[in-house]
Amino acid sequence: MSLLQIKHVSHRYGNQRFLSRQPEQTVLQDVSLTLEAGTCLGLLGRSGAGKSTLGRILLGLERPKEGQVLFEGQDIYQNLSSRQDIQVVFQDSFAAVNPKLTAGQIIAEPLTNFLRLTPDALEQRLITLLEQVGLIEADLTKYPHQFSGGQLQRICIARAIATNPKLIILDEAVSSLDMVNKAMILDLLRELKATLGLAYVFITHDVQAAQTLSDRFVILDHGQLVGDYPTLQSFTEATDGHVEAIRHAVLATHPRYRTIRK
Amino acid sequence: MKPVLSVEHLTIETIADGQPLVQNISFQLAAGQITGLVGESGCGKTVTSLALLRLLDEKVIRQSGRILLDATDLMTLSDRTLRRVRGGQIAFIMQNPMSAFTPVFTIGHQLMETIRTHDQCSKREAKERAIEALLEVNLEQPDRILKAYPFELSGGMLQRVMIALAVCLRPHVLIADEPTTALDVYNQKLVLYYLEKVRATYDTAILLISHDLSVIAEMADHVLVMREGEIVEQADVFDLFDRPQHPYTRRLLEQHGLQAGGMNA
Repeated sequence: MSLLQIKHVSHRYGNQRFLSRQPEQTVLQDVSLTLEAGTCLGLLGRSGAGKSTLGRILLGLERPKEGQVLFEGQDIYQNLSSRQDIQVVFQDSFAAVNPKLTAGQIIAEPLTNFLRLTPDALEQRLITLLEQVGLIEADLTKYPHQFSGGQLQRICIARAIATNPKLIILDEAVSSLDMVNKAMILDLLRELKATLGLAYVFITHDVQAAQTLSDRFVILDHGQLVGDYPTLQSFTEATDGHVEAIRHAVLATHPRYRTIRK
Repeated sequence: MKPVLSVEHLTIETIADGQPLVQNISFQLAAGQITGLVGESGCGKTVTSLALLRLLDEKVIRQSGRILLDATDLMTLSDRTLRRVRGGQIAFIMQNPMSAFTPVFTIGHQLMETIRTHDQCSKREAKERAIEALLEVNLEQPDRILKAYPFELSGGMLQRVMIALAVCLRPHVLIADEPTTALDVYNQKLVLYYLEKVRATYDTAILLISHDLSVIAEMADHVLVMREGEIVEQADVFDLFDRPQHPYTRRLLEQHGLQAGGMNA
């Protein structure tokens, strides 16, 4: 049985204005996908393609207008225990944490929600988690503003893996980091995937980042699934319009290959 | 080649504890050239760009050195005169277009206000110039865009409006601080393409700040590598990519190569 099954999911947003009702806008149309445990699905597409909406649906933050999402065979809107098994890391780490809480309190939140740990066990768990993401015990009492963007993203990752989830939704999780931090966070995610057997849905428009982490690639465009590539090789060798459009948007790595300036 | 803007021994520090943010940096921008400024987050890229227009809070931050625009030292100008320079001779494109516009006025209002602040002209003339500027960055239906509020446009469109706004006054210098970081890859290429068009059409000197070496590889003639407030290397873009001198530059290029592997020839 697949870890995650998305069956014919469609979603629309109402476009209400004062005194007038605009027609609803379709953001996802008949999307079906499956994801196996321990694998990473790269979900690519332009801004506005519906990537983040699909992510929110998988998290149970939004209920699709049509279709079903099954986690280990059970509907995620009926079986709330899946909430513990599906966690998320967002793009903007500063917006994803409460500025009044310390790093320790931030990471402890899901633990106290889902598990009953003694204070000692909780403390021990927090230290282990921090070490897993490459931070140290002394960071527990620091506040978000005392961290850099890359460090705070590590804390968000620690929070996401705190309850031993099986699936993490990475919604543009490395997109606002600089190149040095991006490389380090991608390394960390790859390592956690291997050691903890995690599955990822990696939502991104950054095809290079997607390629370093994903086992399988899909492309969303205007709410529809327009491409599905089961391996890295089939993705890099694909020649259809959607992959070509992505490839065309990739910038040169060396001035020798540049196309904007001749 | 005569520089349009030259920065000499610029040092920026906090007044409270004298912590140096930028230390003794010097560089020049030439007409029709794109100078790339690259470095990690927190190395002082943005603070440098703000200092060029003296936009830093002088109660909190002290800056010294010379910033010569043609022959005028911007450090000696009064606030009033500086306001003519900002936007008029040196324009600025910010990273996040969503927060760079006022949410409560239409795009048209903001474009026309900017034009009329710097050049005396009628509202009608200002509107014509605004439409012309929008057409130059290939925004269709400029009339509709002038009536729109910022939230009604996508990030990519807003960033193109920002370029239109920046160039409608024909500045000699354009500072673009991470202009594509908030955009997806499709819009990124488009925005870079229009920046290049501005350079080619108006012979503008551009300072392009980015942490992405691919953006630098696509666009720059000359590159400044910044680390912890110092410029550790400056070189021609080809030399920098082929023969990096400083160990830090080498490290950046190495990481860049690892991440970018595969997609390019």
